[in-house]
Amino acid sequence: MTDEKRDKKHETILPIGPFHPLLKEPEYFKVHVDGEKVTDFDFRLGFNHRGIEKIVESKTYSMATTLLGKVCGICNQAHSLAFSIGVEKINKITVPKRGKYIRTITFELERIQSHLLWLGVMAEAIGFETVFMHSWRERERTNYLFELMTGNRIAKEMSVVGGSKWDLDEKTGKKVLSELPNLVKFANNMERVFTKDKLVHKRLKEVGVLSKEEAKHFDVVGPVARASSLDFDIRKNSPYEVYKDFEFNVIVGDGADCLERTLVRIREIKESAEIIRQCIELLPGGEHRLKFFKSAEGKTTSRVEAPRGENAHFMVTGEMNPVRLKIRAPTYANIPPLKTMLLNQKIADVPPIIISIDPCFSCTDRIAVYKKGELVKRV
Amino acid sequence: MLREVLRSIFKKPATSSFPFEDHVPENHRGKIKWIPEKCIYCRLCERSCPTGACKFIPPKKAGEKGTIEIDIGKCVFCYECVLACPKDALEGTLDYKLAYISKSEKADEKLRKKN
Ligand code: SF4
Ligand code: SF4
Repeated sequence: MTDEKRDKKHETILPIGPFHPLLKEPEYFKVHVDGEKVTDFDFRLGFNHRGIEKIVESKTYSMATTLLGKVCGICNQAHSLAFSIGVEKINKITVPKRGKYIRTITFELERIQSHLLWLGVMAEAIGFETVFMHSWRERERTNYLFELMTGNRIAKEMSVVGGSKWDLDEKTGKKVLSELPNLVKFANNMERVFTKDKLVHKRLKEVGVLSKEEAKHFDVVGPVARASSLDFDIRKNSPYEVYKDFEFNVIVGDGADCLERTLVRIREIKESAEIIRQCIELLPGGEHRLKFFKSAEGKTTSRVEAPRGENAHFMVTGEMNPVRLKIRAPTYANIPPLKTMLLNQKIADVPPIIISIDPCFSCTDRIAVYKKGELVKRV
Repeated sequence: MLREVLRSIFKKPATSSFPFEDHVPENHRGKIKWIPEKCIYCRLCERSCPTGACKFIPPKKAGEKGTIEIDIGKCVFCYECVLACPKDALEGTLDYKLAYISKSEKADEKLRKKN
């Protein structure tokens, strides 16, 4: 709605956050409403800034991958992997193939875990608590597999510079393979529920529409972009690690609404399961990690396709520790289009729309210091 | 959905009855044990620890060797110290019940054992 047309006199401001039961992380959304309709939207980030980019400058490379795993609780592999790939690129390290395969297995399993978690949160937001319970029950399977493979359910710390921190024995590999059909079965079941259920359609269909042109304009990434018919996936567009070795499809949908974003993620679970199956079957032998102590000086950017979209790390390396690291988390690209998605929607649709971009605010929070209107420093 | 509901009536619960039954995988990362007999005091573990949890405590009297202490309040169980140790003097255990009610209780190991 353009500003002239807006009836500002009858507008009410509905603040959501910084601390609100809807949000799992502190963030502030200012929703202007006229009756039931959303007329304007604004947001503020920065309530959860932890300064990880600064802390990393005082850590050595093996410590840095551990610390970067803490950037995001859900997709912690995405950050340590992006950093490892960058440092390996600068030093021209040939990482053992086995290490790369093992990293890919946990990385894809993490995507399944993240999508299942998101599905539960989304279902809860539309009041479908049964699906919330079921998808979190299935997510438990992936967490158990992580514990078997790496020794920890959440902080996996599989990617390190030079390979994978832990090896994968045959027994665990078989266990992972045997759990995959259960996850695929659940994804099929959910696909059926979300394509057929009329109540779900009432809540999600044509809600929060972001057309292809708008998606392109805002440069959205990940499942949000793919649900708006943008065929963009770093795993296919500029393959990193060993993705060239596998056959898989990039899931693209054309609904451009909340329902399509849900379906894209559900279908991605099946694709990831397929990648993991190929990975374990093709797993080469040999070493899984190279020793790495000192780095060459240089700068580079590395990108990986995290569960939420493209995750980019820009780094300048020194001999013992990184000199500068800049993380562009996927949510950072997906927040601006929220305004377009929310305009003229109902208040009750605000939670599903915000959740449909799979926001992860603590990864996104950055701080820029301004003095008298001039940018002094970015942290 | 209805089929799922009917099936669930006869199924075992998905959760485990925790205090009576534990399921910890064999390579779970739990509390770290230091074995003084194997240690050569190279302090590589201290240098590789990202959180500063692993510390060398200097000896109080001359002739003693000092100890390696791991502050489990700071430790994130990344096992960098275990991997860095050249003599396998640090060992992972499956002990994961490391919660304390207060800091003073944490200091008093004896009190913990009594409970
Ligand atoms: S496990 Fe990690 S955090 Fe804990 S003492 Fe060892 S190196 Fe430090
Ligand atoms: S790295 Fe191992 S041998 Fe060296 S001081 Fe630590 S525990 Fe002792």
